[in-house]
Amino acid sequence: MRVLLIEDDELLGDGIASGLRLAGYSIDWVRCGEDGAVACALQTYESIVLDVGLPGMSGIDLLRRLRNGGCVTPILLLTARDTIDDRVQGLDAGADDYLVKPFDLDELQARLRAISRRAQGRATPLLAYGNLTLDPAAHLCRRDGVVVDLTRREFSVLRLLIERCGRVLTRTYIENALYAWGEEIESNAVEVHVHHLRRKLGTDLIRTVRGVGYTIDALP
Amino acid sequence: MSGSLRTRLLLALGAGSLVIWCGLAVWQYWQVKLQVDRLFDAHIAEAAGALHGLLRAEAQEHAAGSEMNRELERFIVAELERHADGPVYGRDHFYQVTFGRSAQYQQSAGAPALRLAADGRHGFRTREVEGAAWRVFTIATDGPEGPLDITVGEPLGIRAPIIAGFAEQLGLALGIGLVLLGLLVLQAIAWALRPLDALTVALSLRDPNHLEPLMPTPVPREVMPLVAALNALLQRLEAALASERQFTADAAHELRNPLAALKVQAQVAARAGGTEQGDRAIAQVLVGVDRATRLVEQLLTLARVDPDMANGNFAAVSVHELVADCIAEVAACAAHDGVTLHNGVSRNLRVQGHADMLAIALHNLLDNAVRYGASGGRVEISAAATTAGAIEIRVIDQGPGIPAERRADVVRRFFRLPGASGSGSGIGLAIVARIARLHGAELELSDAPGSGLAVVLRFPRLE
Repeated sequence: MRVLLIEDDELLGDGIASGLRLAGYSIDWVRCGEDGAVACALQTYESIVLDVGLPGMSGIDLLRRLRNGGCVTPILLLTARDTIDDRVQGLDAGADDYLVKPFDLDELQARLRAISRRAQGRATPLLAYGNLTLDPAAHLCRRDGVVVDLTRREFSVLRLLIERCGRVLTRTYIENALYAWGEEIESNAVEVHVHHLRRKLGTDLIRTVRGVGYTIDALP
Repeated sequence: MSGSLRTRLLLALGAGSLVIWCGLAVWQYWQVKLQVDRLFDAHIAEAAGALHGLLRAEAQEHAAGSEMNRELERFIVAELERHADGPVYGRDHFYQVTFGRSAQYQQSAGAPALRLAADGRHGFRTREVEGAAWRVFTIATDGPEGPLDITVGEPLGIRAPIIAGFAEQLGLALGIGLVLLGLLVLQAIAWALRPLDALTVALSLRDPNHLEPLMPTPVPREVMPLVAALNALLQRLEAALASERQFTADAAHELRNPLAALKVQAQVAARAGGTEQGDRAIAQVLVGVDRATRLVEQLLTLARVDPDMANGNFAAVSVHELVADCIAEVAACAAHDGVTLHNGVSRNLRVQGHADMLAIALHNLLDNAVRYGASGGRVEISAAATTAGAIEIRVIDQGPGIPAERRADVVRRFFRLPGASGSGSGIGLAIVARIARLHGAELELSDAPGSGLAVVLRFPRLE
């Protein structure tokens, strides 16, 4: 659940980053469009929060550049302008959704969940796998309707594996998806999270592919 | 002159018509009186001539004998009686006849007792007898039969009613004419002013929210410049209004940024309540409130700095004191960033301007220099008169400066440089530019020697 935040306003950027971190996201925050483009090229994000009113390269310019460059990451625009023309321009340039300042942190999170859900081709907010149900909004994992107590990171690893079930995810991939720049990562962090998940949900759910990484098999 | 066009036209045309009409009436009256007098005079002269011819012929007939005088006298008396019943106006005639060597005298009935032509002078005269005026004509001739003086007279009083009658008719005609002329003038004025009325209606029916030019319907040539001027004014108003609307929209949008930050930080504080992160978010909320306050203050300043404020409130302002006051205002902020400000302005330098506005402009420049200059650096404020007599106030910082291609942009409202910290309102330099414009001064941004930004305010020569 790694999100790129492109916001030039220190105070607003700090607020969004703090709020989203509290909600379990890992945030990479850059202050201008050029840095945003570089970050996108280096890293795959679950979604991008982009302020339209950036100095220099505007948010819309960056959006066009990203989409022209083949970037398919869901993008949520933040803007102070709310005329229909502005909305249409933003959406036509390739944005997935649109939020007018000032906005509610809850709404921002809900919209981020919605755009990443749509990007994965899901319509329902809940993620289901066998007898497991994941609620990304509430950070809850249920087995046969009973809540399983998972930490933020454990939930994120489980969600990542279920969302991409049938594919083998490398340890680096999982680390990148989980941790923002500058966050302390212990060398065996992913192994520890997987170990805890196996203890709580059973050993046969997550399969280790030796020398590659981890996977959850696709349901038949 | 002001007042109603209609009234002015009415007054001018009415008074003019009345004066001409009265002159005409007086002239006509005199003409009538003259003609009536001539007519009456001719009448009595004719009567006198006729009687004279008759009597002279009669006298020649009786001249042979001495009986003549008695015969002639009888004839004269008979003639006089006959004439007294004569034509319409003859009724009031009288005759006085003197004839023969013995100057016998006869007069018709109704004649005054006094002989009105005793001196025997030929021609017209006007005589006053017994309180009445008489118009008299005398023919005095001499012949072999002796002299014959005939005087015909009539009271002048009979002419007045006739003249009055004429005058009455004339007055009535002129009066009716005057009334008709008045109505015509009223109608003509109304007709002539109709395009103006139409324009008034068109203007009053306009939607106050729409300032498009007046309709292109044909207007009189005289009104054309007025309509053109009005249209030009409407266009300027429209442009000004559009600019104001744009500014209001920009300002409102600009306020959304600090509001959004406030809301998000407040929500973070609510969620992380009590923790270190919550305390930090609350501190951020306070920073946000300060920022929003600053933006609102700058907006209010920009709104206050208008041409009305500048009008007539210019005075000679000491640049040194101005700079000293502004340095004092930003001192706390400068101390926080370790910036030192140096006032290098000589004490006797003055510029012509509005003291409060100049203080706002200079404060913004110093604030920018402290905010965007090098931390721990130095800000130099100097001022000097150029050879051309202009006065330049110069603020130089040691910050990164502004790239040449961005210098025109930073003066625009709500423009912030890429990478600039978010605490600026984006309108500080726009305010400076506006104040400079109101003072006829130039605002120039350039590279400082070495590194940094040099801002120059160049005031025109002090008259």
